[in-house]
Amino acid sequence: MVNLLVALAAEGRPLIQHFGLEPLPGGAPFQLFRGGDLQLVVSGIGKVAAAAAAGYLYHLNGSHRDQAWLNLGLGGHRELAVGAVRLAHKVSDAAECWYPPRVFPTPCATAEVRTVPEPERQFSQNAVYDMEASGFYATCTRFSTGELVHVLKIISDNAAEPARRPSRREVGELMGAQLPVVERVIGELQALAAEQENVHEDPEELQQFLGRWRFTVTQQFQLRDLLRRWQLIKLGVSAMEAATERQYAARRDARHVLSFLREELG
Amino acid sequence: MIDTVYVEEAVAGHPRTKKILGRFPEAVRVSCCRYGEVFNRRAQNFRLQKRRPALILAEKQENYVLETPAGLGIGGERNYYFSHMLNCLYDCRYCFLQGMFPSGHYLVFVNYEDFAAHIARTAEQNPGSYFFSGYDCDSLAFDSITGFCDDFLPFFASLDSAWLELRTKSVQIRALLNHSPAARVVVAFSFTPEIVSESLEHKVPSVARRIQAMGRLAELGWKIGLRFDPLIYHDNFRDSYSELFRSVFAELKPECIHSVSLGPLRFPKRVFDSMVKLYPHEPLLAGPLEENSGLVSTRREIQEEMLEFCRGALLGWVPETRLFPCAVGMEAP
Repeated sequence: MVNLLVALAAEGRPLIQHFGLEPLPGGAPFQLFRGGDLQLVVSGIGKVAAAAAAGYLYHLNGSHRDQAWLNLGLGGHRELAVGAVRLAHKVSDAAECWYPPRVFPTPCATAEVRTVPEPERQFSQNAVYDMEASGFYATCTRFSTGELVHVLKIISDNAAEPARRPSRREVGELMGAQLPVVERVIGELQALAAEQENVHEDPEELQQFLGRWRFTVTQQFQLRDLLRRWQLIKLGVSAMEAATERQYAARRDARHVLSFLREELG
Repeated sequence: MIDTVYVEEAVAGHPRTKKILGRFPEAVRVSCCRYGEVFNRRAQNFRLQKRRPALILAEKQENYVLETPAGLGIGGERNYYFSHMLNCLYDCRYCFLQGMFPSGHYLVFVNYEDFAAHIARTAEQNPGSYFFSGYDCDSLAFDSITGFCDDFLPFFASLDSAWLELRTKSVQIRALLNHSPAARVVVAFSFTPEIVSESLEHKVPSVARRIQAMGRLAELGWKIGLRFDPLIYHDNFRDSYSELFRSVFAELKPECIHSVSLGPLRFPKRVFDSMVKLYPHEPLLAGPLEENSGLVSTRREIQEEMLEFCRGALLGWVPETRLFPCAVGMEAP
């Protein structure tokens, strides 16, 4: 799953159209859209709103770790041309810095993204100024590894026209013009998220064991580890069949089943 | 291919920083306050970062020289290690670095002069000491970027009695070829049998190429170390280790061999657990292993069988005085 977070509905509209996302019922506290393995949340303006929306979506998704997250939106930069796009190599605010690790070929140039509480007029640093990224990044890296959390900003104003407010139509055009870049970043994130999911997938036969015997939470961790090892060591041999063939193991409780697996693995 | 270089503010003007940055003109440069902001962060994945590691240039501020754990010696009374670099170009599945560090980025401490000052002081106080440079990295693999040999070979030559061990799986020996063989430098090559290397030592030059590089240095008069550590258990290990020993010793005259060490596969439990989380589908980490007193290692009976066999085989080529079994907590690269 790749989760997209935008501050404004106007920023989300081109993405919703392009990826064919459908609105989810409710609309409160955040507007949500979904299609395939993409979700989009409209957070509202500011880093607190971005953090809250990300947390909300995480819980709505069943609190699955290591989903991919992308904050998309507009930002200002003192010299970059309106319409330019930048992936964040550093996210900062007045208190802290983060360095999103980029482990895929970057389809555009990169920049620092600096989150500020008000629209920026001075552009004192060589950075893209926005109002959400730090809240988004700090929150999402609590439930995903940093390689899966990224920030992509499109320039809407610069020193020549500071804090310019583009119309909804202009917002849509600015976002829409960079859809090829957005699509490539999403594609990379989808691949990474799939790889992570594959690494963490449950061992074969786990559900069968859990269905047959009652394991405590601690025992479930032990069972998962033993079945993972079983799968690697006893190629083609069913742990379930081995356990049930042993009459004593079939009749006894989870503790004995775990002992049996341990003994078999040596 | 490095496309991002993080530069600590304190070393931005350091000549070595500038030199290294000159090697990556296309890379994005990102300034940071301290390297820990990048390297030690939570929410990082070593395995994913290994796909495209960045380079971090930083200043080492303390613990320049540390005593090695007991049992890692190769003949000296006092043994120390120093790490001008953390992490390695290679990606060996048994390497403890992947469970030790939160980040897969390459971290280079550019203030070699501070390392040198501390090594000189330690060497003066402890004559005849050994200094190991390849504990947290491969000593030579990144040498064309770091210029480590060009700085440290002359430096060690200037010390009265200190020894330097360069430990490597690299065939990057150009820097060594530009220097005369040093009297107290051991170039130590790590080997596992070809069948093991091909499945576990990702991005590492083949065993044959490493043997070739080692042979060339030996011919020129460099002292060679051989590291069969860790010993990796597999079917027919006797045949494959015998074959490896035959190939290695065919390239070396006995007088070139400074030391041979061997040791079992072993990890601190914490490191092992991190490795399993990163690579849950890696058969090497599934067994046959056992845990004792916070250390995960090859099962004792297998360990003893392998050590006994390899030790016996090696004694056919080297005297016992040059054979050093290791029995401590980690695998050096």
